[in-house]
Amino acid sequence: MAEKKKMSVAEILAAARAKSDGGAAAPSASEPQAPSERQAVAEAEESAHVEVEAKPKAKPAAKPAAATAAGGARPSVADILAAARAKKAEGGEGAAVEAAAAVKPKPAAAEKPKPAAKPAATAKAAAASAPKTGVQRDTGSILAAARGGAKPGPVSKAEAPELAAKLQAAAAKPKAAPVEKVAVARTAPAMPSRPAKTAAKKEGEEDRRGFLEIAMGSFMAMGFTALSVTGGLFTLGLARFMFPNVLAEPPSRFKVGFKEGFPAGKVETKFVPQYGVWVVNADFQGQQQIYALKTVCTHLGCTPNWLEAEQKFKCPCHGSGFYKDGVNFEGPAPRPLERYAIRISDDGQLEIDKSKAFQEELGQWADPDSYVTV
Amino acid sequence: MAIGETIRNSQIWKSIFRHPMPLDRRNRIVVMLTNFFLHLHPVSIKKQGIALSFTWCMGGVTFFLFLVETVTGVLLMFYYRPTLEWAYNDILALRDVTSLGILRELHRWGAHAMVITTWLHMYRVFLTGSYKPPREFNWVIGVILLLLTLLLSFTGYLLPWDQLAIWAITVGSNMARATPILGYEGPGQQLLTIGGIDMITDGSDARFGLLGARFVGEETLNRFYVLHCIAIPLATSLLLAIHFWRVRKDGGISGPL
Repeated sequence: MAEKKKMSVAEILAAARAKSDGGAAAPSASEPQAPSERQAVAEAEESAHVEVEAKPKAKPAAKPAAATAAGGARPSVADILAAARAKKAEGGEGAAVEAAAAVKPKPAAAEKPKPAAKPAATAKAAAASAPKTGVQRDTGSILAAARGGAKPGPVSKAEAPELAAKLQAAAAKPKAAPVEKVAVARTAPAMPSRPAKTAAKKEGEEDRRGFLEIAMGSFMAMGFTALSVTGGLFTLGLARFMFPNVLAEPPSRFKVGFKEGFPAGKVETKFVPQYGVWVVNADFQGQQQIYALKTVCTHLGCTPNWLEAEQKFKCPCHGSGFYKDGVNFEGPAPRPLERYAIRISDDGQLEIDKSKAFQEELGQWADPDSYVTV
Repeated sequence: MAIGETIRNSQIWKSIFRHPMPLDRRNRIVVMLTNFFLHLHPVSIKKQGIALSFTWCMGGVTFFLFLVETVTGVLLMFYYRPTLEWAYNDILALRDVTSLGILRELHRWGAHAMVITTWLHMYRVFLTGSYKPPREFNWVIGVILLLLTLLLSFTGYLLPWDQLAIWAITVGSNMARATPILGYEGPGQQLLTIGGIDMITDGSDARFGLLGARFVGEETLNRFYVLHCIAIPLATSLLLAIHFWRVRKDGGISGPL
């Protein structure tokens, strides 16, 4: 066999033509051969003009495809082309008509011997007389014709017989046996069989390598799972880390002294820095109350100042103003200041609980927990 | 230049620079490929890719400002102590006592400028359609970088610890109270109630995690200091590297249409 080189479709076609035209004159030594699937072509071609005599069936032109089919190799595009060419040429020469017909389901027309001497003329004649799709000399149509109505794509082994049967029916050849053989060869190439390795494995599933693969696979899976879980837990822990269990803040419940320390009309501001409350003794809706106002502006959270001269809470940030009872009256604040819970503890002192707030707009200032009557 | 020749032929020089002078095309390519600082850049770019009228150089200016902030910020850290007792005094000392105290002003101006140039950079990228495929992921990274830039500004704003800083952070962080689900005044806050116990309170919500307390205090100062000096710059550096890398991998600086 010649050196293995890639052949283009054109080259294969040319080679096939030359060979079939010139009989066995094609110089196989000079023909470049491609590895793998093209090798089948090479073998077929070689057998076409070398083993012809040895083979009992004298079908020289049909040899390529037939040999391929017999050998069980997948027929490549080149195979089909070569076979088509060979057949056509022979049909022109009027030799091995049967073989040609057997090789090609479509060239049923080739059954009729063509008197034309030149291949081109043959082709034209064939095209003219072919009952099927036009037999032109371009690759696409040859392939399409060669494949008949079969699916052009790769075909699985399971599908192959079915397709073959279809082709058979379509060909409707008098010669059943050769048609069948060739039809199988003609169908689009079957999927490659599984490598021997896999097949071997099927028999002895539990070999050591398989065990190693499984073991290593599980170790990797376990490892990465553990890593992910650890990472996730660490992230959660990290989130928890940002929230301390103990705060260095003043207690939320504290005593501010006896009622008597808060005369009527007075806003006590001395608890603001530490606790953030004003303790006010004022009239609210006709009732004299002592209540604790939260020093957080209801606009954006700044701390307003108590302006004694103007008798109002004034926020320095954006100018919100609140009356002594905490109700907003100017600036952007949308609602009154909030109250904290206040009560008289067991020892008689006023005790403020910052964990509970009362909002006027929700009617919560009516709650007796939100004030102490004087 | 015998001296220059001697230096360039010395073992030390050759151990650092593994290529000859970049006088021809091949060596210019080798320089780009073997230099740590240059290898993020493409070996060659289209001339229009660096046209000022097209790029405005806003990405480059932003990166330059990031470097300025890094250098001046590290220098400021030598003087600044993030405690209630010293934070404000150290800021005053930087102005009044320290030589070259203008470094603090440079840091502040650079911060303002960086926010502006980041916006302008995005504006340019938008106008030139450079956010479109295949650069759409780099746009996403750019948006994250914008957020990090704003966070750097926000956290740095608290560090002078003056009234402006405290109340600005108070107001700004109050927005976190309205965080969906994780803010104690936000929508869906009730979803995280387990066995009748509210998991999201003013002591455990997103705002608390940011401030480290229920109000802006010493814990907040410390948290913002760490975020401002360590955490966010690290994240920004990483994303910047990816950003530049992707500029190269996604086809380089986009050209005029």
